[in-house]
Amino acid sequence: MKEKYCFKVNGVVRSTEENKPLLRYLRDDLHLHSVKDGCSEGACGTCTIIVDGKAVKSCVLTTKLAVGRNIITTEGLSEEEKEAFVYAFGSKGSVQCGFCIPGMVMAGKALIDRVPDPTEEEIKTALKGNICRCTGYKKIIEGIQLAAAILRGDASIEEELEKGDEYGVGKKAFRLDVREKVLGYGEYPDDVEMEGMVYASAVRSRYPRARILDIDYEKALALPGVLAVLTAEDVPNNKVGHLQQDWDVMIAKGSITRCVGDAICLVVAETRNTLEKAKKLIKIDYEELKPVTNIREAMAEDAPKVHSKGNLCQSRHVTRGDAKKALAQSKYVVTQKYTTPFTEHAFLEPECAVAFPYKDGVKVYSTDQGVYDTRHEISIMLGWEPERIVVENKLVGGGFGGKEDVSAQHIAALAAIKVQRPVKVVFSRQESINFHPKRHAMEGTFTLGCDENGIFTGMDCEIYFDTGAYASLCGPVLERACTHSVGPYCYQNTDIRGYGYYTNNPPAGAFRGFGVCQSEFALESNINLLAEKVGISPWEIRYRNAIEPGKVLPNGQIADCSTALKEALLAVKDAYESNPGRAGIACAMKNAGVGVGLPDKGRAKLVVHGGKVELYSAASDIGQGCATVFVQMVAEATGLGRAYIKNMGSNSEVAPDSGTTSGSRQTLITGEAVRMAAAELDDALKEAGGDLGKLEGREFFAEFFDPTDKLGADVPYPKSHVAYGFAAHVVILDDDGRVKEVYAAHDSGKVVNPIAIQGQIEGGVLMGLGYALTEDFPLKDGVPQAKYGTLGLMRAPQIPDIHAIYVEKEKLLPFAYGAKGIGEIATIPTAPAAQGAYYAKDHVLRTSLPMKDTYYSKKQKAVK
Amino acid sequence: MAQKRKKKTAVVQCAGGCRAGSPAQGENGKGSESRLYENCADAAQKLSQDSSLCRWGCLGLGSCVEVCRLGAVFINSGGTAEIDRSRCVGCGLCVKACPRHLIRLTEPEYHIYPACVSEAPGAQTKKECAAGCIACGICVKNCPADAIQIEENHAVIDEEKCISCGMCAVKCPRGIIRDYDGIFAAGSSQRKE
Repeated sequence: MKEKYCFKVNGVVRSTEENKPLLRYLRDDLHLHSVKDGCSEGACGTCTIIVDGKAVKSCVLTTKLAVGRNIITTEGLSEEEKEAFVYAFGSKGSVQCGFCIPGMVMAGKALIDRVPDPTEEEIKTALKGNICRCTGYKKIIEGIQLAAAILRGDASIEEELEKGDEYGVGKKAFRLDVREKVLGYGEYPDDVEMEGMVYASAVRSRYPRARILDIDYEKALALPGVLAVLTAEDVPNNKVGHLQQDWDVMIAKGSITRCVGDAICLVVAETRNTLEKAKKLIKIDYEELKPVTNIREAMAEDAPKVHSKGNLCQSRHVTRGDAKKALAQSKYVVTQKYTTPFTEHAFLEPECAVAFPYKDGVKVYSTDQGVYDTRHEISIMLGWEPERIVVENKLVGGGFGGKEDVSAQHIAALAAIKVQRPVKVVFSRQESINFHPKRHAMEGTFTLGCDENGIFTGMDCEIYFDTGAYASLCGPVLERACTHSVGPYCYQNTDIRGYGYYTNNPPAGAFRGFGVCQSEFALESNINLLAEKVGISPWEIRYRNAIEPGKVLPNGQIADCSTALKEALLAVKDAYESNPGRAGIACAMKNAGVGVGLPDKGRAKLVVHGGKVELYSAASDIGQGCATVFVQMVAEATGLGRAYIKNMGSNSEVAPDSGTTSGSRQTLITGEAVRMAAAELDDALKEAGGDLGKLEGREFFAEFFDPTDKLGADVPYPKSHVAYGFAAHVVILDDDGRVKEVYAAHDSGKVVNPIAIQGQIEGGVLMGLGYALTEDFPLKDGVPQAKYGTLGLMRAPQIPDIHAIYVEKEKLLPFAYGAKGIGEIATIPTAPAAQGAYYAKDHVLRTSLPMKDTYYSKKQKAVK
Repeated sequence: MAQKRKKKTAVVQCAGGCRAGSPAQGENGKGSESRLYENCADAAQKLSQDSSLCRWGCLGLGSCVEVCRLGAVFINSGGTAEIDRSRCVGCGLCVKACPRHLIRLTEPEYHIYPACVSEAPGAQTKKECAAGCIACGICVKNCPADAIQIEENHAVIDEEKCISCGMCAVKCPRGIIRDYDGIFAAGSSQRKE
């Protein structure tokens, strides 16, 4: 007889004969979906549970090792504990994408059970094994403190807050998704289970560049439980791509791979185990070829062509005035070369999709940044009318730009159509790291000039991007890098050339900041050098040049009435000036909305149904909180409470297309569409004497479009974007060179949700600090060398004090109650501000990221 | 308050298992050698270079036991010092008493530790010790945080990088990477009295 492993889970005795990771047993056998699978490597902490009072990662522990143990998951918390954590995490804003949250709750509970009044340091230590990529940890630490206080009886739950009768713009709104995310019953695609569901996974290339000589899958196909093996021949149109369709769904026999993430064949099997076995049985013959591993190699005359049209993927030339002349006549000029690395998004939820036959086509449960984008890409692949494909977002466990391209969705759809059953595709963590587009690595030379007073005269720069194997969003990202390389200042002579090259590295595409993190790092560093030449402080030179309402930005756009960069600079002035020799400062601007002449439209439909207002708008909430923001806007316009407004989510079958979650656009662009529809509803509601019941069945649709001018438009003052957000960050070091404090002042227009915006700023700052100091993406001949746990993501004990400051002007834009969006900008100025702080401390100009020779880069001595 | 709660604990970096026995038991467990030495320091000094006893492991003569005022250190049935976690307050007296520097203090959040510091090559350790680290490197490969290195033929955890996930303890084929919480792998037991 087989050995039986018995243990107690949430008070019930369980037993199994299978020895496997406890995570798999809890999720697959007991269907306890609060236990999230973020890496299955022990690195991320999303699967944290409590075993005999200790917080333990369930992917590490096995059913065999768990024998006799008492196991608790979020589902097994007492009612009192559940309410305490839901309220505490909701009121403190601890929840964004939510994928790390059940693990955080369990780590917090294990601590509180041991120490009822934990200090901040103790909480940070307790969370050291749990990564959060959204919040910057601060709000989670505060949430655990409050939960502890409630459980001790030192604080109480204010039920009114979650109820949300007062839910309008500017109110402290309890996010819609707090409860389901804290308690872990909210569904991400990997939590979906369907009758007859099977699994699919791709066999990916072993080499970044190799010719596929043969694919032998006979043995795999013969394995019982294997339903199909698909190759490029089974794909109607073997190309996908967000904007440029250059991405092979699978690499065909005889063709050449472009990166290690490339799929060669797709296996469909009844169970996960069979799938893994089958994948190992597939033999692929490769002819290994020398890969193109960097921009210089890609540019070489005799370089192998990654794509048949050549290695130059995209280029841009952005110019205005006469930079050459202006620089020649400038009193001071600096020229400096800068390099920045690839960066991995490291969202906590790996890519996953479930697809199944639906009506006359296919439906996909997805985790992405735009259901209509996903639908579009799948329709191209299948050669179908887009309407036959329905894409619905489940909860999205973080995106940061890395989920704009299709990853698992299209292959899940392909497999579902083939086997006519529901198919789940879930990426392993390493597959995710190898596959999805990164932040572009950059090399660039930047020249900036100023007059004797430090007033900028002109700038010239040349930016080279490594876009890896596929274009992804190379065009627009490169373009934003170019257009924003000028900074939020007022000068009129610019000449900016940008080039994006294909290599055999993993692809690069959208990542929070969208190219601007790279170019503003360079610009802001140059500004410090100019300040030194002029003999004024880095704060002063920025203040002298800062854009103001009515003045003209370097791109020709006239800054609108809401522009509050100077206010942001004033908000951090004291922090900067009271820390001489250890503080750095940097500014940033970031567009809200796609702009540049594109038809960037927000759409929303409100339906009165069952005495409630249903909000339909396909705008992905990837954790930033836009779903809540839209409900707040309806509440503001109508005076209705949260209980009467229901966001129906992002579903291409029922919700109108409101564009991609990209370009910090949802709050402004979709928000305004929601506001417009809600205003109509309000008018009708007034006519009906305030009785929502009388409007049953009525629909209110609105589309918002504020036209912009395309790049290089022949008008005196082209309007590139609907709006810009502005920011000034100050980074302060301690005596050891550790980042002690960050002051982050932001102009993002009207603040819609004051708790949520702080979390956005804090999370963005920490991501920026990671970019500056700890995160890297080493490659060896095109092959990623990092695992999730070695990417250099900041952990809770490392975080500095982050002070999120927002400046609001009286005069605001006439859209979306004056909100401008905060999504990306918080990540941009932190790295150059940190660089400036080190420069202030030791006068060494660090021109590459992550910065060398800092407290963080020094090898820590091993403890013996 | 916080200080009091951040209780350090001593861990012994030897799990016993030397096939030749220990000085306390004498070679091959004959119980003869123990009378030769007064205490651990004495044994460490006098033990001949060509003794078949492990040159790095616990001497088992209980110098650490003697200095502990709380009765938290004891010599287990295998002749090796062990810490009773429920009694240890992390004062560090045993750390100073051990002539082979096998005991160190660690903080509760670093509950995973390799219980061997033998510098003998893996094959030799495998032959001579039932428990010791054989420097196979499986822990190094499985560590998600790149926190483990093989140094001088045994696993060393860099606590700056360690996230105490326990993966190394679970994967170690020798069970020599310990979890003093006793969840992922054997930890120090409570003293049986």
